[in-house]
Amino acid sequence: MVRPRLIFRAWLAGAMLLSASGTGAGEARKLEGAERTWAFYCEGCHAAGIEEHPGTLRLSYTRSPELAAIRGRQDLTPEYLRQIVRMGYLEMVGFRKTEISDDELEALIKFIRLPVVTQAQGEK
Amino acid sequence: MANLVPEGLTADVFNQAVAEMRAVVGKQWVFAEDQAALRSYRAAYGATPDEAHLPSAAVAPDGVEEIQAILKIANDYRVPLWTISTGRNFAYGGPAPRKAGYVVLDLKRMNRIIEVNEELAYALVEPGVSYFQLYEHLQKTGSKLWIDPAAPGWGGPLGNTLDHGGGYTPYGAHMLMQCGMEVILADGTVVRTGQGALPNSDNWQTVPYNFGPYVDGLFTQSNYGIVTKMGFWLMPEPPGFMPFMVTFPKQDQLHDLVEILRPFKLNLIPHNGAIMADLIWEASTKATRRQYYSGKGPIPPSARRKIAEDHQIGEWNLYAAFYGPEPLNKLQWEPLEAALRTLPGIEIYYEGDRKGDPTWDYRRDLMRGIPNMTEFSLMNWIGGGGHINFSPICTPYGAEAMKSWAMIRDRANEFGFDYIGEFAIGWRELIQVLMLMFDRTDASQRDAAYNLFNTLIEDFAKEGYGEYRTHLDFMDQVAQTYDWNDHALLSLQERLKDGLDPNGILSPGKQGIWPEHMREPR
Ligand SMILES: Cc1cc2nc3c(=O)[nH]c(=O)nc-3n(C[C@H](O)[C@H](O)[C@H](O)COP(=O)(O)OP(=O)(O)OC[C@H]3O[C@@H](n4cnc5c(N)ncnc54)[C@H](O)[C@@H]3O)c2cc1C
Ligand code: HEC
Repeated sequence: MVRPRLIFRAWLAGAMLLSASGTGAGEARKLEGAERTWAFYCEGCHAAGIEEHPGTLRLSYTRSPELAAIRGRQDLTPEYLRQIVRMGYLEMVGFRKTEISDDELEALIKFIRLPVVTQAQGEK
Repeated sequence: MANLVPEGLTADVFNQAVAEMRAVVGKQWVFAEDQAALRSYRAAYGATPDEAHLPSAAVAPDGVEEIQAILKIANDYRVPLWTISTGRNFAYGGPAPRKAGYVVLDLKRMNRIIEVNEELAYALVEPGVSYFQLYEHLQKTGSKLWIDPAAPGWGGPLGNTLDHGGGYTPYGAHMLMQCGMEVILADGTVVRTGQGALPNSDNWQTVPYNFGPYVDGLFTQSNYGIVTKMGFWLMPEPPGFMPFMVTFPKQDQLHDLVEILRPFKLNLIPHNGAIMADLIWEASTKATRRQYYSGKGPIPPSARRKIAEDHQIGEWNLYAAFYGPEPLNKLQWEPLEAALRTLPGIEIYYEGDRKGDPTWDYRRDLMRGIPNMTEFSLMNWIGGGGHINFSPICTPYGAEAMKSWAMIRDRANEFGFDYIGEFAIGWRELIQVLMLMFDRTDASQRDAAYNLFNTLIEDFAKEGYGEYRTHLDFMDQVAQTYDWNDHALLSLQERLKDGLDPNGILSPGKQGIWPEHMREPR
């Protein structure tokens, strides 16, 4: 009937990310958690697809259509991501440590910086 | 050492209080020195600078006992606490406190979904549960129940309901669907309302009105307690869902549209709260102001026509839906459709007619309980991260709608802003929301937004219209408009405050209700 826009994959994504990124089980669990953090706090504004996502739409105006989706962007350094996620920037507001802990933030940063090819496989 | 200290406290006393709070919740759950952590509690979209609402500290307990211990410390040292749940009350102040220097009591860590009852279709949750989280939970468990999210999916049912928020399914009037609470009073007493007060009752989440005075409402938009659990009803998935959109080419068709809708809405048709969004609201999810007009002042009619054509939208755009067996939905739609078709130039769209239109997609999703974030695209119309909501109530008469719309539009234009707004029509009420967007990096726009807001509060009060909710910066001004019989209502609210929270530690100034020691003479 209606296609859910936000598809919560956290509970089935682990194995795919594990094989795709060639990391150990502990690391995979963190990435799995990171995917859930992404779904709860970022995806609604930053998923690929300029039209439906306010962050992606805004960055397509202020950066470029190529830089509009933030997942996979290697120019976003961990330091910059840390800063933006805590302090926010204009429309994008900061996130509290009660929402995203320091550990979760580090995992999220790794997740965002995973090359897109890997992510595309993980997304199937 | 904290940098900022609550009004009336010395740094030493405050640091002592902070140290004691750390002993209660663990030092990682009190933020006082970490400036980056504290900045994440700012009122990000507001018309006043961040500094106006920065907390001195934030404390994040997990559980009733920890909250009770924090209350004891706050009472001992007179520390003002500002309670938030998911803390995403943006456009009305986000997680930030009414005044700089308060300590935010951040309940986000308490995020358990305590019960979902599939047979009786209700949920009982803790404060930190978000719409995304509850949606995920129901999907995962294969539940056939829907949630009713507000437009931003990162908020949550408890915080949103406590601020009298609303959504877009037939369960959109959140206060109506709320059933049973657990509340901690300022002195640490834990109270369960309704049937929750009867040991062993199974009916806490099934009967909202019970023996004795109804008290749940006292803990909404107030500072009388800390809500730690809330029950609310969930809608069973209906056998059919029929969303539709109607575009109206002329601004003054708002009049006829409201006249047509009122008698239908009195009979709960359409089944959800119908939304009438204006042209720019519709356009801003997919375009920017600059693409159509680079001048100052209101967008000229020629540009408005171009916008309407490019995006196949109207000056007004109605969204609503029917829920139930398909044949019944069609039968109920027929008379409404016939009435709407008497208006010249309208277009009607159904599922599948607006492929690739992000506005249709997110509205349709909200109307069937799928949380998302797309509405934030409105902020891209001009960009710059400023957004506060002016939300007056009016009567669902066509003439009243036209009048209150023109009042906002003219003032907004006078102060240099576009009218970006919508009307939501409920059972008997009509609520207008002006989404006031401004460039927060431009001090003159910030000031203009602030002044416009205050002017609107006055304009509307003169005509007998009040706001249903407001931003931190305007709580006193709005509270003062409800002044019948020498402020009798506010006086009652203050007497309750003094009785329930004599030290005035809970959210001082929330909705204009101040504890005695902070009260200004009227
Ligand atoms: C683009 C946009 C669209 C929006 N659309 C909607 C919409 O469709 N519907 C709508 O209703 N709102 C809307 N809002 C306003 C707001 O963002 C939402 O209402 C949001 O759900 C409120 O934040 P929250 O759920 O995180 O609640 P919180 O921020 O946690 O709580 C709201 C307030 O309730 C009080 N409170 C919270 N928890 C407690 C507690 N445990 N005990 C006592 N008091 C407490 C506090 O005063 C707090 O400030 C919109 C805002 C924006 C920016
Ligand atoms: C409400 C929508 C929204 C949410 C939710 C959101 N963002 Fe943003 N984000 C934006 C917008 C909009 C911008 C562009 C800033 C502007 O112009 O207002 C942005 C900018 C950014 C940037 C800067 C990109 C650049 O090119 O410089 C990063 C990085 C970022 N966001 C990461 C995140 C992460 C990580 C999350 C989740 C933890 C997140 N955002 C959640 C809306 C959002």
